[in-house]
Amino acid sequence: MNAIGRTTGTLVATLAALALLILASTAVFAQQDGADRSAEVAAESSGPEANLPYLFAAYTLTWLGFFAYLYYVSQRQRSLRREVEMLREALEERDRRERGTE
Amino acid sequence: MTTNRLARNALLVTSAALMLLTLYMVFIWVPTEKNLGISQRIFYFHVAQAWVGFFAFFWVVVGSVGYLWKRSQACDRLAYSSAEIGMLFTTLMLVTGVTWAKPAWGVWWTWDPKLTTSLILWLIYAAYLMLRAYSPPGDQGSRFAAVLGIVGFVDVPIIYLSVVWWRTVHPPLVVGPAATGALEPSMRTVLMVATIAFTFLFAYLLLERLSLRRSEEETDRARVSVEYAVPERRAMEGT
Repeated sequence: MNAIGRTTGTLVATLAALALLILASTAVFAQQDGADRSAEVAAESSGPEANLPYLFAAYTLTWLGFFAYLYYVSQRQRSLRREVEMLREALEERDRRERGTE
Repeated sequence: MTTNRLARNALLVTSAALMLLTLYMVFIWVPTEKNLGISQRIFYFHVAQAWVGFFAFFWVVVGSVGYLWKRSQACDRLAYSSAEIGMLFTTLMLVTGVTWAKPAWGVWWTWDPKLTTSLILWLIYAAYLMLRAYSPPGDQGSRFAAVLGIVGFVDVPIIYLSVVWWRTVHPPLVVGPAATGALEPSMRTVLMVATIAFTFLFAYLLLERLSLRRSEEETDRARVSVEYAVPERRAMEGT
């Protein structure tokens, strides 16, 4: 499998792991909440700044997601540049060897 | 500087400016919703991310149809790049949805029709990217993925109309042709600005990813020519 396939596979696997993690934690938290869920909702809904941590988490995760993707793209660009440089060197080396044997 | 780079820079600056405006409007300008409280402000990012995710998958369909029809590498590149960015936005839509569900409904996740069909969409396009990643070299993987990309898009109108067709905890539709719910004018304005900001961000990311994809293909071709060119030439000279 080529480098593109490996990288995309890693990316998809990471996203899948992230989603599974969220779903798993969801299930765990949902079980922990149990029967007093409605009382908790009522308590959380009161006050102007109630639920602020959820708002903070949603926006933070969004930006983390974007920056992680941009980081992945920049890393991929860097690795491609390195690979192009190596290929150029390999070609030059072969040309030199061929000229030497002629 | 190339035209492509100029376009990407212009899109980056525009989307950054629009994103700052969106953040100002979300956190300072728009009033707090009285029933859901401050957590309702997640709505502006959540809906905009959903829209851009669907929009990205629409471009997957366009690219896939183009590839199956013309066998154009540019169309294949568009489908692949758009699917990856669509996955990013759909993942973020699910994450913000889960984060909002807890304070709004008291649970992180419920198997509500809209949530379930959204998760199915995510899984379809995860399968699409897996197929692209693990298929053998050649056009077979692209063809199979193109079919999956087109068929998978059928889920998008189902997600949109799920609140009309089934009993659901999701609020009624407030935007689009089937909208029945009302949205306060200032909230509608913020939602529109956020959607435009995210659409610009999508356009920027798509151009970046297309450029990267082109470089990946060129590097693959160069790698093949380095690995096989000299032995092949020698073999031909030997015969």
